[in-house]
Formats: sequence, structure tokens, C-alpha cells
Amino acid sequence: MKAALFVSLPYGPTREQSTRWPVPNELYDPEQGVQAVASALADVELADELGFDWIGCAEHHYSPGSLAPNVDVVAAAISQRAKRAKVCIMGALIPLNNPVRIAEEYALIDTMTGGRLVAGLLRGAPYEYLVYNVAPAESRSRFEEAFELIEHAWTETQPFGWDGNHYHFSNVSIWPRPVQQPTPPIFISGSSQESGEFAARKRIGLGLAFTNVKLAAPAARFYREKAAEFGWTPAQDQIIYGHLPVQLYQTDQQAFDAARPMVERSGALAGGILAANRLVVEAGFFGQRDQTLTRRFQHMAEEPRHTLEEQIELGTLLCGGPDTVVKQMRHLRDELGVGVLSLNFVGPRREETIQLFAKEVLPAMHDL
Amino acid sequence: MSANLVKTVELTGGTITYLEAGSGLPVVFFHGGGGPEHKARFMVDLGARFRVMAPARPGYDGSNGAGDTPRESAETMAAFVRAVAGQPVHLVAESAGGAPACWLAILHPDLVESLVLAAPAAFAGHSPAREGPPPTPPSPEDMERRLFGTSPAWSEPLTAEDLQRRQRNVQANMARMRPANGNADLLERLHEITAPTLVLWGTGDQVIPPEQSQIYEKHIPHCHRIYIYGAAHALPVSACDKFVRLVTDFIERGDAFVVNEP
Repeated sequence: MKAALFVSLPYGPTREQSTRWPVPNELYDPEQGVQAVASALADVELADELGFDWIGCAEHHYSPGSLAPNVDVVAAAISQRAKRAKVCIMGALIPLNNPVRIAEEYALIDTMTGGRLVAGLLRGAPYEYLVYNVAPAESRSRFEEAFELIEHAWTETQPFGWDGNHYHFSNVSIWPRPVQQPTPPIFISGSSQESGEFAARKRIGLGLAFTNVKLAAPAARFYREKAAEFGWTPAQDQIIYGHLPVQLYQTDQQAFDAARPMVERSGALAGGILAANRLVVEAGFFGQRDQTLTRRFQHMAEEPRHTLEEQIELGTLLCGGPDTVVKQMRHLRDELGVGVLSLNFVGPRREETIQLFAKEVLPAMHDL
Repeated sequence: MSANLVKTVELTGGTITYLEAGSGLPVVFFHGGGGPEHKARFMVDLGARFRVMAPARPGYDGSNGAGDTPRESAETMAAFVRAVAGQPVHLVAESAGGAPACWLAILHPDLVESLVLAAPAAFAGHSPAREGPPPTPPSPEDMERRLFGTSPAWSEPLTAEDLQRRQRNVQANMARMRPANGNADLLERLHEITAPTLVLWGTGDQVIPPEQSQIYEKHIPHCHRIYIYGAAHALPVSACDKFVRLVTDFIERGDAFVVNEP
């Protein structure tokens, strides 16, 4: 099993709490932003030196939760700090962006890393569809067309044009092309059955994020079953699960005492994002086949808060001493068949936790 | 807008039937392996801007004359262009019409102002072998879907007679569509095409792999290539609106068709 350090690029605490989304940027202090980016990139260097397998990053907008509106800029910065680990873009939100630009930038990052890019091509969380004014009901069709256009841009060796339903280009002939041929390893997010089937049909990996074991297990099983129908078996590295907060201490008691007030005090998402998500899913984001997901996002605000123990059982965080955390990872592997865990180290003890993880957990994790 | 008219022209050595629609710049359309599709809407749509002539090549429908090879067929079609259009034309060809169209552009460059190839079938044998057992032959319904997609643009519903005529054309011309040399002689001479060329291909083409389009892009000196996302093989019918828009734009604006207009 492999470890991916997830660089969410959090801004940190704001001078006052806001539950709105978008979060008003009058709360943004540029100096704090500079520090946040610098310390996140320091984590990248540390994790790379300590043997983390991947460094991951993802596109998010309009909140202090992440300062990564253009994930390719973040990945480019990571590529200059991580000399060994793969750089995993988890990913650009391709229906919101120019697909040719994504193909170009990913190819450049693959070049900058000498062929260490793992290419996530994602639809994004529902609320992101309020950022660039893209109709949520078009999300699926935009995603599928953008995906195919990016594949062509990476693999074609003669100029071509594209006349699609959403995208029109007279000339495409990207420079650089990717180092990894025919393409870098690709994965998409796959909570919905449509996504799982798409990934299986395309013979690419599956990312399971912002979910839990109860929901992710059937999604992973569906993906593997569909892959079998299409005549192939996904490698263990092709199922990625995250982004798991890591509360790692020397002992279980220390970890539980430290984690409990943090994880039981607040819900996972602020009210503004929940409301934005609800608006977008009700506009048809998940399509007809996945009414369960639509209902989940409609009623997320009413979900009961889980205790620390329940959250561990649901696989939404790792918490404990080293042995306990390894045991929790084994549970995830057994339930999901997952080969890569995307891990989120946040808070003031970040550097210490990364070091402890690398020393006490990573070797055992690699043996899983 | 004019309806398709069925006409006949006597040439030295043969008789050619053809459909005609519209008026304006002359456009000659070479049909695919099923012969002229009398109820295809694109003829009428292109006819709104152009004079469109769609000959049945020798061996198809009631046409006869020299045409056992794509090159012979091109010579007969050159005579057709001289006799019926009377001036250089914009030549548009789909599928099995692609090889004769390329030959016409090579042998008679004075007759071809521009060339559009829609999923041409000239080098169908050049695709890499697919893994696994040979695919099961498609059912007639599946073949219809592979050719024309899920929303074919017919001006009126096809009848049993239309389907039988198409089937007769396919059976009578199988050898013409698959020359023994795989059109190797044409491949060697593609670089002689001087007409501005546009190659169109549907990414949903299950008859000829879309990657075949790279052959034309690589060998024809003045060539643009555009994928029509999701479209099935017979683009004039499977993606009629996009096909008509792209062909019209290419004919009317030439190289400037790559420039976006408000």
C-alpha cells in the first residue's frame, strides 16, 4: 500500500469564522497566505525525503480550506520540491476548465518531473459548479467529452481539430507531449455508478474521496465488477482513497484525547458549502442513475454527527498510535481493495506527525 | 432549398445517374458503400448554399462505365464533373467514396478546388490488429446504428425498398470497396494532392477506427483534420448539422475556417 501526502494548501484559521460559501475574501491576509503556501511546500520536501510515495494536490475554489484554484500551478511547485515521489493531481476539474489547456499543463508537469505525474481528471464537488458558471446538468457530458479530448491531445501525433457538443478547437497539437507513453496513469473520481463504469470502460484508476467505507465499498466493488466485464483487473494502485486526516501520536490514548474535541466539535463541511451542494445536486449534477447520491447531498446537513469511534469505523480518519493506524489501514485495504491512501496532515503538529508516520507507520503500510 | 432531383447523364463509355439539389458554388459528393442515400437530409441542407451533385459511381444504382478500381472510378467521375458541373468543384466524399475522391484530386487537380473526406475508407486494412477473438458480425440493426448513429438525419423515413437498394449496392460493389492491393498505390501518391483538404472523422466510428485519420493528415500536404465528437461512421447522416456546418465553412472561408467568428 502506498502513501500520498495530500497538499490541500489550507490557509489556516481566519480572524473570524464564516460559514458562508463563497467565503468573503476580506478575511484573507496575504501575509498569512504566503506563510501557508511556504509551509505546505516545506511539507512536500519533508515527505519526499522521508519516503512518501506520492504527493497529491487538488483544485478547489473560494474558501480558506484550500488555496489551490489552479492545481497545475501547485503541481508545478511540488515538482520542484519533490525529487522522487510521484506527483498526483487529484485533480483538475475538467468540466470547468479548458481541456486542451489541462492536457498541455499536465504534459508539462509530466515533463518537469521526468515522468512522475499521476493524472487525476475529475468532475469536482457539486459546489464548484457555482464558480465558473457551468450548468451542473452538463457536468457529466462535459466531463466525458473533455476526458476524450484530453486523451486525444496526449496521444495524437498529428494536428487535429475538435467539433464537440461543448468544446470546439480548430487546431490541437500540444507541446510538450507527456513523457509517459501513451499517457500518464489516469484516474477519475468514482462515487457514482456512472463514474465507476466509465473508469472500468476506459481501463483507468478510481479515486474515492469525500466518502466513507460504507459508501465506498460498493463503489469499489462495482468498479471491479465492471472492469471484469470489460476484460481486465485493476491493479491495487488503481484504487485511491482519501483524503484522510491523520491523528497520529505515540499512543492511542494521546491520539484519541487530542482528536476527539476536534472531530466531534464540528461537522465536516460548513453550512454554506452544504447549501451550495444542495442547489447544485438539485439542478441535476448526479444525473438520473444516482438518486442515492442526490439524496445524500440534499440531506447532508441533517446527518448526525459521528463520534470519534464511529468516524474511525467509517474510515473517515486515521487515529491512534502507529500500530492502531496500521490496523485501520489494513481494514481499508480489506474493505475497499485500496492501494493508495491520500493522507491529510494539518494543524500545528503537522511536521512532527509526518515524521512519526514515516518512521513508525510507512514501512508497515508498504507491506500491506 | 431544393429537393433532391434524380438525373442521368450520358458520358463516353457509360451512363451516370445522380442526385442534384440547390444552386451556388458547385459541390460534388461521392457516396459510401451503400450508394447514394436519396433521403439524406444533408443534400437539402448543403443545397441551401451550393449546387450539390451526387453521382452514383459505376456499379451503383443504375450507373455504369469504367469503375472496377478507385482509379478507374475517378476517371469516370472526372468526365462527370466536366460534363455536368462544367467547372472545378468542391469535392466531398464519405467512406468508400474517399479513395476515388483522392484519385480524382491527384489525377485531375484542375477539377478540384477543395477536398473534404468524411471517414474515408481507403486504408481500412492499415489499422493495428485488435486483441482478442474476432468480433461477432453485427446484426442489421446494430450495423445501421454503427453507420448512422442514434439520431440519423433522414428527410423522411426509409422504406424497405431503400434498404434493399442499399444492400444491392453493397453486394454488387464489395470488390470495389476492398481492392487487393489495399490502395497501397494511392497511399504512395497522397502527397500529390494539392487541393486544400479537410478530413472529418467521428470519435464514435465503430466501422473504421478514428486513428486512421492520421494517415491523411500525415501525407496530404495541405490538410486539416477535425474529429466530430461521438459521431458514428456515416457523418453526413450521423452528424448532419455539424457536417454541413464544417463543410460549408471550409468551402466558403478556405484556410480562414480555423479562425473563430463571433
